[in-house]
Amino acid sequence: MNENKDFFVERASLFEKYHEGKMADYEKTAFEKHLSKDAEFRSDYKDYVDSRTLVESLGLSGMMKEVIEDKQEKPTKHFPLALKIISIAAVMLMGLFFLWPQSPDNEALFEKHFTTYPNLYSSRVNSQEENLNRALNFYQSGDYIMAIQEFESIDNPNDTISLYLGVSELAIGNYNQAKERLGPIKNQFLEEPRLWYIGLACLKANQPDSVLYYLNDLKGSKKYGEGAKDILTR
Amino acid sequence: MIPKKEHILSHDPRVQKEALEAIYDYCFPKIVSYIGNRKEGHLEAGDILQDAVAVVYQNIRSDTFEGKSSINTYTLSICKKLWLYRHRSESRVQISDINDEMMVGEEKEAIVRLDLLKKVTDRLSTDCQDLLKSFYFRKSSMDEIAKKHKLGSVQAAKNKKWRCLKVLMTIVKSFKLDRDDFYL
Repeated sequence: MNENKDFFVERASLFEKYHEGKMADYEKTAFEKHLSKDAEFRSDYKDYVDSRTLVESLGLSGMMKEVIEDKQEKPTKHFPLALKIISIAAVMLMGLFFLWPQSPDNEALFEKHFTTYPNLYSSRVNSQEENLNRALNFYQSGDYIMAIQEFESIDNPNDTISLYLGVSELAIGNYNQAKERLGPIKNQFLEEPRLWYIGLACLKANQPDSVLYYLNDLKGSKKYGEGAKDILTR
Repeated sequence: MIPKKEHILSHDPRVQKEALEAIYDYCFPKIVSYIGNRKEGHLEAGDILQDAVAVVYQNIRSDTFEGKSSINTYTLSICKKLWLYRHRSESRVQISDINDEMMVGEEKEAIVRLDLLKKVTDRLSTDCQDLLKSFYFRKSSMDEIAKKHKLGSVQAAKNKKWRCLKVLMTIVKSFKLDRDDFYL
């Protein structure tokens, strides 16, 4: 899994460097030679450029939204003095609230602790279970959206597949869907990872009570204990 | 200001914003008039214009827009096509008297680009969209991104950026595989 992630990062970094004109001449020559000879490399680079262009276009669309809102802003009314004083006081009180120590940095905690559940099927898949094979290949290579599509196409998915579905949803930031997938898992062998990943989904959703509920029982776990304690003590 | 493609592609947000304001001033009243001057018409005109600007940007980047017409009239044509596409099943759709600057192929391309935009905004988490926009559109540093998105460290921000980019690229690749008319 990490090897695939590193390969992607290495390749995407190269694309980025070339796209932004940050390569030395000799690097650029080698890159362009590779582009001309390797169809897959060329296709991946095109996907990178298209993805970037898409993001930039979304950014511009957001900027247009601001322009529209500015242009159509309603004139402000003249509030009575008393209301103005109350508004200022309310803003000051809110400011004081934000100065007090805040809840744990959930996003950073999530990033620190989230790793995907390992593929336990790899050596045991029946050659006829094509959907499962494909799903696991996508999962292993980090293509979670495709993995979800393939896992969903499996008839009568068992709890292990539900776990992979939940982890995949969490990997792409869909924490509510992740909780829905993980919640019904009954297999006792999967209880610890179930609690762990639901806990992480609740962390991402800023639900501290739920995080405590799910992770508290993992403090004694060999695999998840350290992580659970770290999150619960923050 | 008369907006030109260099303004749209500028890295200076003030220049981009000024160009967008000029596009708004030209296009918005015409779109509202075309749709029908009701409150819902104003809201829809705003949505259409936002989508159109994204499509125009992609067309400029991919050299589809050759600059034969002005950015204003080109954007207006795209707005009209997108509105027609939205309401294609309705009998009230009427022929416009707005000058049509777009060829048939470009019209299809605009719709394909819009479909891809919608797919991305549906499937890519808001977190990821915001982070990628911060990096690639607003050109924020990793340090600024780590602070804004509460990621704790520059390394965590980089990890998240790569993860989000990978998901986005998967969406784009899967969209291309599903559509045989995709030719960005």
